[in-house]
Order: sequence, then C-alpha cells, then structure tokens
Amino acid sequence: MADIPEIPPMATAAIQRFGDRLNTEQRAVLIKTAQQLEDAAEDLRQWELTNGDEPDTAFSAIDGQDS
Amino acid sequence: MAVDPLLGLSIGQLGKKLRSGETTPTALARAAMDALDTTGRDMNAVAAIMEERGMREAKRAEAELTAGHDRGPLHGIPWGAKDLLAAVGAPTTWGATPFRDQVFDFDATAVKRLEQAGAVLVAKLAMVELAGGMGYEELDAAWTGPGRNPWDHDSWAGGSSSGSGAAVAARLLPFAIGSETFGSIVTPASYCGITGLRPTYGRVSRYGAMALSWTLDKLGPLCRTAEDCGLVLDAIAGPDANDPTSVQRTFQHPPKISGDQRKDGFRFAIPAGWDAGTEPEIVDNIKQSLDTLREFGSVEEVILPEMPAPQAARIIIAAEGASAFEDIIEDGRVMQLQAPSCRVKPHVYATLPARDYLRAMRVRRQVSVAYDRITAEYDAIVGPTTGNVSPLLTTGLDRSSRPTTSAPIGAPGNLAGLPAIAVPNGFGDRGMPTSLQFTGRAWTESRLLAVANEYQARTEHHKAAPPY
Repeated sequence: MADIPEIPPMATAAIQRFGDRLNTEQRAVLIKTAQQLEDAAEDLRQWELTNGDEPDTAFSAIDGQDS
Repeated sequence: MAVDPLLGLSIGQLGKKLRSGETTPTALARAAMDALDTTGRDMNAVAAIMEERGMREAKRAEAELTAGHDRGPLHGIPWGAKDLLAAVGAPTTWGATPFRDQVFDFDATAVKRLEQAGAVLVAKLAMVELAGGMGYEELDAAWTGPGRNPWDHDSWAGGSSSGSGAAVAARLLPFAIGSETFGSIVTPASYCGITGLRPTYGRVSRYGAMALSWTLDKLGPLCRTAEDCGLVLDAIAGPDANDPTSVQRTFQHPPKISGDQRKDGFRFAIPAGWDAGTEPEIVDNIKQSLDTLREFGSVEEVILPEMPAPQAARIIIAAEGASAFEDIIEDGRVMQLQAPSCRVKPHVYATLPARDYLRAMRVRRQVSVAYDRITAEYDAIVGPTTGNVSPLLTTGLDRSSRPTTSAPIGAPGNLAGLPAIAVPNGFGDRGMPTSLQFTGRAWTESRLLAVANEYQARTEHHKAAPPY
C-alpha cells in the first residue's frame, strides 16, 4: 500500500477555515506551503534555547508617571 | 519619446545646473513625468504620475531658488515613491488590486521630509503586491504587470521595489524611495545596476508606509551613486513620534572618513563559501571587486556562524504578514491578488502557531548578538548582493529552499536590522548587471557610504547606462 503523505497541521487548519475558497490545485499549493513553513519551524525547534533566551521584541509601557 | 539626458545626472550634478540656471525644477519635473509616462509605463514601473502635486512642488522650488531660499542638495530634484508610501495627490495601492482605490489624506513621514528638503514628488512607482509578503513565486505579481528591467525588457527589474529600481536605472529619475523587508531594496538595485541603501532598522520612520512585517520593514533610497544615497538618507533619517521604532542616532553626512584618511585603510571581510551557488560571472566580478577593495583596505575571510536565520525570517514574515493583512485574508479579498501563489499562501500564514513565531524571535536575538560581534570587527562584510543576475520574466521564483536574498549575509543582515549598500560591479550572464554588497554594524551607514564612495571613485560600473 502506498504511503499517504501526512498533511501538515497548518494545512489542516487552513483548509478547515478557508477550504471552501480553494480548488484542488490551490489546496496542493497550500499543503506545500504549510510543509515549507513546518520545515522552517522544525529547524528552529532544533536550535537550542534556554529559558533565559527572550524573544527579540521590544515591549515597553507607553507612558505613565513616576510616583 | 527621448528621455531628457539631464535626468541621467547625479543629484549633485543636477543641483549645480539648477543653481547656475541651466535648468529649472519645473523643467526637470516636466521631463521626469514625460519620461515616466512613456518609457516608465513601457517598463511597468509606474503606478501613478503625480502631475498636479509634482508641478506645484516644482513651481514652489523654483520660486524659492529664484528668491535665494535654498533648502539644500535635494532642492528642485524630482523623485518617485514606492507605491506603499502614503502621499496626498495619488492613490496608494500597495501594488495590489484590493487596494487600487485606496487614498490617504496625509503624507508618510519620509514623503514629508523630502518635501521639506525641497525634493519634487512626481510619481508613485510600481511594486510587487503587498511588497511580496504573501510569498509570490510569479514575476508578474502586481496589478501594474511584471516589472521590466531597463537592461532587457524580457528580464525582471527585481522586487519588491521594482518600479523604483527600473525608473532610476533607466535615467527617468535621479532617485526613488523603496522599502526592504527582506531584500526588496538591494535586489532591484542589483538586478537594475544601480546603488541601493538599506538603512539600519529604525533609522528611517515608516509612518505612512504599508506595514508588512513590523519588525523587519525598512525604507531607503535607490540612486545611481553612493553619494546620492547619502544625500537622500540625510533628508529622511531621524526619529519620528509617529513611529516608535525610529530612533535618534547620529548619521554623519558627508562621511568624515575615507581610505586615505585612515592610516591602515578599511578592513573588509568576505564570508567563507560566498561563491557557493553563485553564477560564475558574478564570482569573477566579485574577485575583481576584491582587488579594488585591496587598493584601499584589507580583505580577509570570515567564517559566519551556521544559524537558522533564513528559517527565522520566513516564519517572522509569514506571521507578521498574516497579522498585517488579516482583514483581507479573513474577508476573502486576498483572492483578488494578481499572483496565484499569493491567493493561497496567506491562508497558511494565518494558521502559524504563536509559539513558532516566538521561537523565531528568540532565535533572532541570538542571530543579532552573533552578527553584532562579527560586524564590529570590520568596516564591512562584502559579497555578491545576489547570486544570480536578473531572471527572465518567463521564469518564476523558487522559494522552496532559500528566501529572496541570496547574499551570504542577507538573511542575518535583515534579521539583525543591519545596514547594507549594494553597488554595481559589472555585468554577468546575458549582459545583465551584477552587484557588490557592503553590510555593516548597526548604525554605520556613514562608514558604509564612505567605503562605497571610495569603491565608486575607483570604478566606472555605476556610470553604465542601459540601452533603453
């Protein structure tokens, strides 16, 4: 029996939400895109991070007043 | 219609002619708009000609010059804005059909600052739809059609600042403003054979510019020389209360340093393995460029750390792009986009887990720290801006393996918000331009401009004009 390729979770979620807009050809593109993103995300998961590695965001309280 | 040869002069040269009375701001604006309306449209480089605003600003500039009120080097110089910058007087379509009728009643900060510097806005320039953030694979991904390259109409101008690159290269405008999230200034500069400066993230306010990726978007000039890029950056740089990411950092123009002034010359590094996957003509041209750089500095090889920077960039752009364009993804207008790939991919981007985005941002911090250490050691990291010359329009972009910019430091450079300048360094396959890129430590645009100036003082590549 031939292996049925697994559909990446992102593709499943996207088809659930937006599938009625997409034809067969578009769904194939969608699955391929999801796999590429999944591959990129997996590469990042392999990169060692510790609890101290904060995301590179720069949140700051907007203004306020010292008291 | 023949293009006025005056438009082929640098900003400095035009400034002299304006002040000597050999030409006028209205004559230049008229010539630029005529050239854009004919040659520019042939290349699909134009989103809108700003006839009324252009002539109004030109007349004001002329009256001021006549009265002795000189606003500086950009006074009376015509320019074009990538069509993601809000500007009163024309629609701001972001290159995308769903926004064809979008009109803003204010100017982006960069537009306002150039107006204050006396520059004359004559056109909105074509761009890849939504700055390419929806993952286009087709080279005609814009409502204006495929951006054609002035060196060969059957080749691509690059993206996403395609009109900005083509119009400046074709000598229709002395300069244009483009934007870069991931390669969108330096790629058209490379493919069109002009000079493009990607400033440090935060150097130029993005207020009034379309947001694709809040943590990666940058605005910068496309010109024919590094000197001109410095003049334009000097006008648009600086903090802006409307853009909290814009910061107050010193930008010194003209640069005070030069190869002659520095005792030991400049220190350059080229990444080990830079030539892998690079077209042979580009490899040859870079080797020649390295010989030129050795005339005023040293060149050594540097081993760049292996980090998943392209993967982090891919995740960040997808996640932030899906958020920036959540409205058209949700309501289905995304299906109106030109490129078939752009109608589909955003639906996946919208499902990207938050933890993957945050992991990408955590990796990004490590990339930024690592590349700050590396770039601190050198005046510039050098290499090919793109590993290939402009592709034929009959081909597409293969995004399966690597993102747009193929320079060895392209992904980490954008992730870390580092400045870069791309300069022409010869011709490659099919006679198309090739490009040398200098990337520096954050906030070192002055130094990058100094080395690019020095390079262009010793070479003629930036003076070559396309046959068109």
